[in-house]
Amino acid sequence: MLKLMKSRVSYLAVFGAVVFLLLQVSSDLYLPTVTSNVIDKGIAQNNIGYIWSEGFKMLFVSFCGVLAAGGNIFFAATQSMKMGQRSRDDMFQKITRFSQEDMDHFGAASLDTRTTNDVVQIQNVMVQILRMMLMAPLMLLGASVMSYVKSPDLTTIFIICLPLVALIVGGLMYYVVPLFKTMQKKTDRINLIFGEALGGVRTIRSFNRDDYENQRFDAANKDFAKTGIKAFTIVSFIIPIITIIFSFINVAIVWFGADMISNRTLAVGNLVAFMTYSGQILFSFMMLSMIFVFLPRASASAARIIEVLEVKDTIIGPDKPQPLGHHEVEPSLEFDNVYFRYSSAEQQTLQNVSFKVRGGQTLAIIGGTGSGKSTLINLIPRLIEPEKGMVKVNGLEIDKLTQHDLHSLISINQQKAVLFSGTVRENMLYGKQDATDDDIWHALEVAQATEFITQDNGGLDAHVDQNGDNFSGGQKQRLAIARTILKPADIYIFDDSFSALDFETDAKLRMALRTDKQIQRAITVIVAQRISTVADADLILVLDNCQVVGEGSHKQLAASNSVYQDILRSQIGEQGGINNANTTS
Amino acid sequence: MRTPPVRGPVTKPHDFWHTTRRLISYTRRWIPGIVLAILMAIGGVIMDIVSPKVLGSATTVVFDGVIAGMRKVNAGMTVRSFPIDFKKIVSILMIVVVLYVLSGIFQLVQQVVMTRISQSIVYQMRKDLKAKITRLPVSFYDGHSKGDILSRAVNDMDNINTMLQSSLTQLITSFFMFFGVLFMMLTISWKLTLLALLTLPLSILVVSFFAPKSQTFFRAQQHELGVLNGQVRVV
Repeated sequence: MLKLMKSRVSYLAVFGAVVFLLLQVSSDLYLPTVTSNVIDKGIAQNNIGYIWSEGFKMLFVSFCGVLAAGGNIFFAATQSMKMGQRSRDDMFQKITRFSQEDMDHFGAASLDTRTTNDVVQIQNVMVQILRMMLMAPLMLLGASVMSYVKSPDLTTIFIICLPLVALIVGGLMYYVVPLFKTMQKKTDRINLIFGEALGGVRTIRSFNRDDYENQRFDAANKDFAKTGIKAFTIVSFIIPIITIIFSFINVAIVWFGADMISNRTLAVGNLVAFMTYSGQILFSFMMLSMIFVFLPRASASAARIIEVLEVKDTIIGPDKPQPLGHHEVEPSLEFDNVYFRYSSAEQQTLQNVSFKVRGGQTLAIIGGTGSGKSTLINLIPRLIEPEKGMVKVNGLEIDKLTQHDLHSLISINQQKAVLFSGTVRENMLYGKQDATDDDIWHALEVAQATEFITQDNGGLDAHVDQNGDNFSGGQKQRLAIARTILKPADIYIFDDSFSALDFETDAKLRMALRTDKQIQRAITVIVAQRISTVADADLILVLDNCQVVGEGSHKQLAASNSVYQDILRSQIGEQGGINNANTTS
Repeated sequence: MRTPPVRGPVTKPHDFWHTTRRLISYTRRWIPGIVLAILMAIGGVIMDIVSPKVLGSATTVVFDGVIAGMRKVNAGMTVRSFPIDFKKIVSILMIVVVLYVLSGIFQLVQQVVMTRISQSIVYQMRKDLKAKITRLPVSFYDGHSKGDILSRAVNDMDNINTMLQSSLTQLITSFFMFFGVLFMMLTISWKLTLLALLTLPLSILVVSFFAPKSQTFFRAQQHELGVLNGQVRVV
């Protein structure tokens, strides 16, 4: 927990909070002494003047105490919120740098809970820490000292009983702490199931699985509630037990105190003061125990947050990055004996991939499902790191460039089109922040998206729902493609981007791409499963079982490559015509 | 009491009662348990209030002994020990012990019952929320941020839970505590009580000034949390 605080909290402010707290506590501790003085000197000796003067003293001290409390609360609140804000920020930044593996390790739902719910937990506890957790030991110490001053003998009662209390509370805590940890995990689960139901509503309803989903949620819900009941029930024992023990302490105080008073070894006023201090010790103990109860839940949250923050960046930028040359350099992409393996895999996903393409050329990658196409693609912008070998962009080795520079050279269209909620324009600007409306319309035209995005039905201001769910699959892809080509880049990558388009649109789109000036000078990389999509590429790589089994033009491969021929045959019927049943591959 | 947040502009107090009434409708099933908790609270409060007075009477006995002793000292006699009626003190202390133990038991029962009730209520609310979501048309899903809804299901529910579990019990306890202590104070000295009550309007003023402000901030905070949640999910 302290780890999180480091550098996210202004030390000066925390110091301020502590100082104010000290002031507040001192005033709280001073008052009973004044009261006992008033009793002994004022009331017992009928000194009214003394009572008045002490009274004003008390008023003044209380007022200072209130101001101090205010100061403390101000700092406590601001610092805890700041810490929460910075933690969230750091996590967000970190997550954007995550590799795919890291994402899968945590899962989207857990990351979600960690950036929101877990941060809320630590924020809440932070406030309490800066307020009460400091106050409790301070008060405890102060009250103990004061009570010792008033009567050393009676203080022995505390010395005997307090460890007992600590033992009992500690014992209860032992059971409660792990329960709180699991509560956060169960929150994850609720988050997950509820989230899935929200995102996959269409799937769930069309398969009539609403009841099943509700049951799933109910199970998680019940589980969470049960754990909560268990945890908090144990917690409920703490205060009553402390109260009972302290009542016995009070009884002992009065008993022994009376004895001592009768032996004239203790003044009556001191007894009263002592009892007040004993009350304060009780109070601070209760506060401490309450904090100790909620601390585990927060510390479990803190640990989860730190887990995210401590994920090692697997893709590390170079210490001395090479600056990008000017854009007169002809674009080129080269793979030099590249091998790749996922960290947990036994087999390599890519073996000995080598090729080179230049600006203006189109590289196509074809292969069956799972043959390593997307992996190859992800190596280019260094989203993953090769095990062996080197990837070069524009003649520069990609690990010598900063990620930022590298990404500025590449524009990728992912397999799954991701759109954000907002307007069409906002989504397009993602590709190029200073794009004009004309730029955007041009991109939409090339991407064959002007069919459904027209000036009449909203144009660039048309609304896009979260995830682009208000568009069909093919429309989403086209919008994503438009965004991709809007960005000026040396390498355009289309990862299976045309799969949701029918043949005609597919062909029109690729024609538009070929004739677009900006794209003409760049390298186009197309990953596809349809021969028709890749047929007119300059270089086709055929991937099968993680290896490049064929390299060449369509004509060459159709003539000599058996894998290519297999694919051809399955997609184009025996007669050589286009098989309608294979429209979606 | 905190109210569940509403999207859009900050709403007026009349919404407060509407939502409170809805919240109360959830508690209907648990009325017997809540009544038990309230009874326990009352019992606990009575114990808490009476015990200081009883304990105080023990100190009075001590004090009486001291005064009697002082009188003897002032009269010139040497006094080795003050005449304190220990027998009386013993009987008083025994009563105090019983009171404290009962108080502890009442508190425990109250807390355990409320824990169970609040968790169950929130469970029910989450269940109903899920069921309602399931019945809503798909257009609702498209029109609302997934993160925001999720935030309500998790974070806001958490808050309700805390409220029911601790704040509500505190409310009940404090309510009865107020009247109980007031009564006790009156039995000790109605003049002093009056004096103490003079500070009451001042406190009420302070609370009525700060509470609504903090309410609006809390609402805004929860709203922002929902927005934040939505943003995070997209990533």
